[in-house]
Amino acid sequence: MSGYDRQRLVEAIETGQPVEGEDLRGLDLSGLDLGGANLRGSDLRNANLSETNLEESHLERVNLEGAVLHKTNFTGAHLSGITLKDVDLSSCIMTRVTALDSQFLRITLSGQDLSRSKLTGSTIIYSRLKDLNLSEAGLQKMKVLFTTLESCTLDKCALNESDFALSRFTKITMNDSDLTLVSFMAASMQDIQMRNAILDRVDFTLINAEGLDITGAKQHGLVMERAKVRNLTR
Amino acid sequence: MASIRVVPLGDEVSSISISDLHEALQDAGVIHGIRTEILHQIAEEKSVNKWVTIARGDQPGEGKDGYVLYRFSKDGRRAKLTEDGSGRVNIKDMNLIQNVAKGDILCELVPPEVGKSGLTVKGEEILGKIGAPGMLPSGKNVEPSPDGNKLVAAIDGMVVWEDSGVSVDPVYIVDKVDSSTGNVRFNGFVVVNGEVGDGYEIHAQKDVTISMSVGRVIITSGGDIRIAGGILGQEKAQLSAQGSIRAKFIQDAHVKAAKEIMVDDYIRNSEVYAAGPVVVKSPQGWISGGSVSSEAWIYCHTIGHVANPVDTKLTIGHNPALLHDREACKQDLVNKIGDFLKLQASLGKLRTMKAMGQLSRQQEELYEKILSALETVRHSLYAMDARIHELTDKINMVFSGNIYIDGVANEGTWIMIGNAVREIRKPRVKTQFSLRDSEIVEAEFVLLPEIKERLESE
Repeated sequence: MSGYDRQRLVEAIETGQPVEGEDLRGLDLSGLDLGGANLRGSDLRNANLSETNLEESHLERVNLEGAVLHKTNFTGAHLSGITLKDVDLSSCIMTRVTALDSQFLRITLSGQDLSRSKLTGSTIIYSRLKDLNLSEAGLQKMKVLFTTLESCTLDKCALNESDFALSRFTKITMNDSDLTLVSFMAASMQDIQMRNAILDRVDFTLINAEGLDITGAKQHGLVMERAKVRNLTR
Repeated sequence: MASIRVVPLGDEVSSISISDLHEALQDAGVIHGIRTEILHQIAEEKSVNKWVTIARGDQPGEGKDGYVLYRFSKDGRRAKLTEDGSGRVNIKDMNLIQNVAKGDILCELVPPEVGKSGLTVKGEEILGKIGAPGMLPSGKNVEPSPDGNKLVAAIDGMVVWEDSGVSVDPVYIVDKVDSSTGNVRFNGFVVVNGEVGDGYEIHAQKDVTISMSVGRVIITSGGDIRIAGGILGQEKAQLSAQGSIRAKFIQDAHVKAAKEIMVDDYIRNSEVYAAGPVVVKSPQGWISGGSVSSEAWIYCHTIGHVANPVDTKLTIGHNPALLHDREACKQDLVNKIGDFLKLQASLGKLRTMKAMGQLSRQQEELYEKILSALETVRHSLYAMDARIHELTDKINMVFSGNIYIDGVANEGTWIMIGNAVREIRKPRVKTQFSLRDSEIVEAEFVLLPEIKERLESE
């Protein structure tokens, strides 16, 4: 044990001390202002981060298993290399987060402005994403598998080489986005816009789509094996 | 058969030619079975005025008799040990019971065969003889197929071969379950008139009735389980019924019923769950240690122990196993996604080869198979997702049943209704617990008609 308690942690952060790789398991950090804190690699399992301000904080590789994430402010936070499972992040503020190469399993996220966020290389599995603004976000080389995306904006996004296999899209816009080498294998789609998008070697194998608008899109080498598309607008 | 007699025109016969004999036979229509050596003999010996057999036809053959082909083993007492997937053999699984479902073919008639055809000396076919037909056996709960050639089971049950008859018995009655019977796996009712040995299993699709107490046993039933004695489970017994379970007592056992659980005397150190009510009937009945859960209501006289407090959990809510089931489903789903990714990667490699025109016919077939497999995995994932939602709905369901204590709830008793929890720190007498505004509230015990009805039942 590192010996950190709530008070000592606040003091350390106020004096600018890094708290990297520390054991902060089970600490009640609710309501604290830890903005800009450096907590890289720390163990925050089962910590209470309810209404904690972690704006612009460095949380790379932290362990958040079992942590209470309610109304936690992650604005501009660095969450790369983390793993989150079975958690609803909808009450948190996730604006402009950077979460490169992170793992999200069975998460729920709704009603968030994630525009210009960076999620490149991350994996999202069996999750539910609703009412998200992901405009101009960096979403390259992601794996978004068997995940439900509903009423989300992914306009002007870099989605190159991402894999959205098995995911279910409803009312999604990807206008003006770069979808080079993106895979939608076995995905289902309803009311999807990809206007003026770059559809270079996009894999639509086995998709089941109802309402796909690719007006003005630059198409090249699309793969449509066993794809079912109804109401395609070019 | 054909015979010939040479009759000379004069007194003497100078010669008899073979060709003349052949011509004579041909004129008579004899073409089959001609014995050439006899013709030569007649010609050489110049035998006249004497009948000689010159040709023989072929006799028709006897046909093979029909018979009954049995689709079950008539030697029902012989153990049939089988290996499991890992090659291990459980010597308790002797498979002495031959289960059949209604409509299964028990035996069928193999028709008699027609014998080999014969030929007359004139070349005419003589049809072979037909063998005797077989006869289907008779018995209880069996019936012939519409074409009359098969005997099928009229009900689900076990095949019994007795006195040259075939019957299907819906009830398996046995004096005891031990090394003489092995584990019992039966698609009907099971009645055990004596003991079930420790370590033995009974799996029945209908009711299981046992006349004595049971110990370290595993019993599953598609109907009810009725045990005249108690369950002394040694922490290993597992009983599960799609119907209700009744026993004199339950101790150190895991017991689960889709309907009600009725116990005469007590429940001790056990994990007990029923979708219906759990009732300990005796006026001195008690529950102590372990957990008792019901989705309906629980009735008992005494909970815990006054002198020796022990944690005893009484829960009105979902089956605790549902959480475990849901976690297992979620893990299975993630594993299935892994399977999908492997197939996706394999398809990608073949696609690269396909683009370069390097796919062999076998690889083209594999390509199509992978596409189909991807679709199958997608369907499986949707089904698993639906199952997870179904379990989640059950887990989140609001339960509002009561816990009725006709005597005392002692210290150490935990009352859980829905998501509310209350620990009993001081004994509570003649009380009932219920959920109101998300909190557990207490009221004076009232014997409701539905409880009375069960207490008075046999």
